[in-house]
Amino acid sequence: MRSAAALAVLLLSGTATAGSATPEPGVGAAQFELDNGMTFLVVERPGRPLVAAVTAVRGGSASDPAGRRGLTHLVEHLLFAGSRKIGTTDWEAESRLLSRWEDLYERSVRRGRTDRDLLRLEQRLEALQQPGEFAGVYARAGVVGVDALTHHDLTAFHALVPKEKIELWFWMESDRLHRPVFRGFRRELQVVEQERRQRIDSTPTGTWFELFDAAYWGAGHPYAHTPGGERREVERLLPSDARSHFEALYRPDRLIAVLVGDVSLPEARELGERYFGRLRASGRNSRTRELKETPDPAVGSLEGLCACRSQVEIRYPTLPFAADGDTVVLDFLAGLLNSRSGRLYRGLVAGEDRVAYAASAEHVSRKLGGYFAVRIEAGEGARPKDLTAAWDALLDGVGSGGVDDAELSRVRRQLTTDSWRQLEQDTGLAGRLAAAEALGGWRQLTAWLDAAVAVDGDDLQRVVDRYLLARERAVLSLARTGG
Amino acid sequence: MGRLFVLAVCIAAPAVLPAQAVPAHPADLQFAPSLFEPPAVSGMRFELRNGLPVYVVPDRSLPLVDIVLALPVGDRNEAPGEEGMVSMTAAMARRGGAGHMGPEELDDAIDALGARVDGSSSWTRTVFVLDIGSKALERGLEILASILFEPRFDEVRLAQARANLRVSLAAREDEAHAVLDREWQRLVHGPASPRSRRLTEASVAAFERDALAAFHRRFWRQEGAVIAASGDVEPERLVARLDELFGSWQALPASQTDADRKAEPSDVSGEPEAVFEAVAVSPGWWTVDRPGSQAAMALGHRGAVFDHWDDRDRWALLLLAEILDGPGAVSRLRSRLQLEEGLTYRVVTWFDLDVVAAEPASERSADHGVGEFRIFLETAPESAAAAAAAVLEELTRLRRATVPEVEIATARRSLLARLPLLFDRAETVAGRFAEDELLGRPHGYWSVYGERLRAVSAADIRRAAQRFIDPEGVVLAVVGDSEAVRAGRAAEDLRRMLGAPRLVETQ
Repeated sequence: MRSAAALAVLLLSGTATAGSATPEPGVGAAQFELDNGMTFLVVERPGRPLVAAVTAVRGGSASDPAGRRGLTHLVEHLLFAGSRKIGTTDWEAESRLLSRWEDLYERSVRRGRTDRDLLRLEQRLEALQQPGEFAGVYARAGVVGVDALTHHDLTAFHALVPKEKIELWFWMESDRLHRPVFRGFRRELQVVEQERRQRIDSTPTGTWFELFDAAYWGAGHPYAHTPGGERREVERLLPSDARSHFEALYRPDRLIAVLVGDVSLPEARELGERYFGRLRASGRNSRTRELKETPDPAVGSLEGLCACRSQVEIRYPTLPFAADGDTVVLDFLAGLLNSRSGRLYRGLVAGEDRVAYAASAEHVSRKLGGYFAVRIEAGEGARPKDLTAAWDALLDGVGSGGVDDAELSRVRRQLTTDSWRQLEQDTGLAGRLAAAEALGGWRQLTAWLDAAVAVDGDDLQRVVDRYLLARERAVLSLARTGG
Repeated sequence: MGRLFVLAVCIAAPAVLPAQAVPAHPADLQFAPSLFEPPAVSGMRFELRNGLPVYVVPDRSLPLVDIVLALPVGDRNEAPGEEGMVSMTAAMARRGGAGHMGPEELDDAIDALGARVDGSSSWTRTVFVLDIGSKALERGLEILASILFEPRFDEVRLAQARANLRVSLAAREDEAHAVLDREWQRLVHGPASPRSRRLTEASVAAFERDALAAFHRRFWRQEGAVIAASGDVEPERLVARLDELFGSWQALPASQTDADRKAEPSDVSGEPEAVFEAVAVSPGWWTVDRPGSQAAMALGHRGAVFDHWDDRDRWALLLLAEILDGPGAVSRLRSRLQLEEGLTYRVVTWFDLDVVAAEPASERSADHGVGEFRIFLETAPESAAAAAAAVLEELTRLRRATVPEVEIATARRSLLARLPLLFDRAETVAGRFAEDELLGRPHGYWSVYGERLRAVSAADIRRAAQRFIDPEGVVLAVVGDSEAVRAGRAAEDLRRMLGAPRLVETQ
């Protein structure tokens, strides 16, 4: 998940060059809602040949039901399988077979073995199904960048659409949310397993960070598992699980659409009403998890060996995305520590007593909680405990009020230009708007830069004293196998 | 981009246009034709007094400026024993201080401006990027010029960089992808090829200040360099300032430049057609034993060779690549491996399509005509043989059977739809035209792009497949649990296609 700093794109201020014709930057977003509660954000950028479009739902892997971790991610994959109109040559015939297939499949999962009848039925279904048609319709129309992501608090579907074909995007996206058909279920289970192996199992540190997340957030916490879920639970997921989860999670009042490009607000509103206005909440009960109070993150350390550079990640619990006040100061603190003239590089990577190959800091703000993370990879001969000790010494310097005006000025300038850069690309802007809206509301970020450039040394002192406490932190220490 | 301004309004829901019915199928929708045309270069190209070309594309919507300076010097110019010298020179020019500024002063100066300055390199080029607020541009340009002309290559920073590289060398076997890339290059291009060279402890030890300074003097020349500028600038004023800073950058005599830029003779010789006869140095099925639940594999051989950008077979190959594995289309590999068989989460295909200037065989640089055709994917070890066999079947099908017109039309539409992405912002427009200059690609390439793609026939695509894809001459390199791979599904089929698997002895 992106940090609050990375999401701070909706800024309203900026110092234009004296005498320059360039206006002060801003996102220029307009918002409207449909009668069914779906939110639209539109940024009009006339002259762009493509429209960056995102459909998102306010819910990600944190909404996975207990015992079904990975279900939200699987539903994201299944939403590319089409609908009653897309992906089939004969929906009536397919639906009858699909119903029988689901019964047989559930029976085979319960028994733990694949029934021959199931395989025969799959062959008959394949004759009726067109698994690539959803992507094919988009491809033939020249829609590119078709992709989706499941985060902890958000699931988002991206596309870049030729501006003259924007109505196709409304048709396709509303159709798959209106009456999706989760065909190819067993095959998609294989694909999500491949994705898990690629992203986690086959990387040197993937499994360790998965364990660290579980230990840090604690058993039962919505963030304790990665969006890919748990293999043994994913294997046992059923089509009926996917359908009920979809109906509970993808309610119209949880949906967000973002359009950035050459599309007018009246056009977006008219098409939005026509296509997405037909979506209705199903009203069904489900096991989808409602997010309430969560336990405090764990304190302590997790140590291990891996075929990787020796490294540590040190986490301090902070604030959720929607919290006021100190969030922006923590973002600023990360800015103070990062970059080549920042404290981490100077103190740990390039200093006389350097111990690190690389080091960075990030304030991670999610819907239910946040943390301040410092990640340090070991330089030649350094051990994980050397890295932690070096960080502690460096933090003492920040916490003792030793931040001068030049450093503050540097960070303010960097945050300002970084925020302008985030307005440059339509795709990135659309994604950030959707994420901000899902996490707590995009308007919350509009004052971010004004608040950030007002941060001073006293503010930094306060957040260091309040949040970056050794007694409340969790540390992952990985030592290289073989020393 | 239009003028951006602050606007955060909440608008009530009622529709302003009369409600209309939802068409039954997307085929029922009617669209206006696309009016996109690539921009003309006219008015964007300038030359400094030394002939250095500068492309400027203004965009006043944000107070930002991007300056990209590219040199035609890449890893391919390294001689044996100089492995990593190109990237190290670029990185240390940025990190090691410049002019009167030591490393920390240089970092402070750049960060205080809120700027980003990075130096990097690839196989064919070295690139410096200045990304800065327009108010600070003047100072940023001075810093960029100082990095380019008077890098200090500070000894302390160099020692740190060498130490970090030793850490990287110790970790070189950690990532399966890195092992796969190394072994694949060696098997396809041969151990003596420049593409097979890798950083060693000896080459790291050779990164001394004097060596970098000599390399800088030898290669960072004005010849072939190009600048792309975009953003909040006034073109004439910017070019005048660039002329003051970069216009006196002098060229070396042509003979000396040519001699410098020529790396060692290639292990590959002969005419392009002859090069393509030997599609890989060590074809066949190779495995690198590595325990784990996932296998990474690369399949392919050397790439096509073209001597001009408007080669009909090059356009055909562009479409063929899209049909096989285009990112925007329903490609054959994605359809088969992911949608039908669920074998992989991702498949990625590279076809090198750059043009190599015609040179006598005796004077060719080391990498002449040695591009790449590579398909990469990951899957479970027990499925690796099945996935590789499926890929080979698809390659054979492209050679033997005519691609249906509807499939060609989809691929063509998808390629044309991505064309606007290459010109979607001032930064990409300036960069595209500067890249034309760097590659020797005529600017007119973009205006005939659609016409040439539309002229490609099914017969052209089949001819390109027969000319540039050789399923029997491929290298298949698999990094994973060798026993599981050899015993996996369709392993016998794959043996019949490529012969028995052989184990790569890793370093």
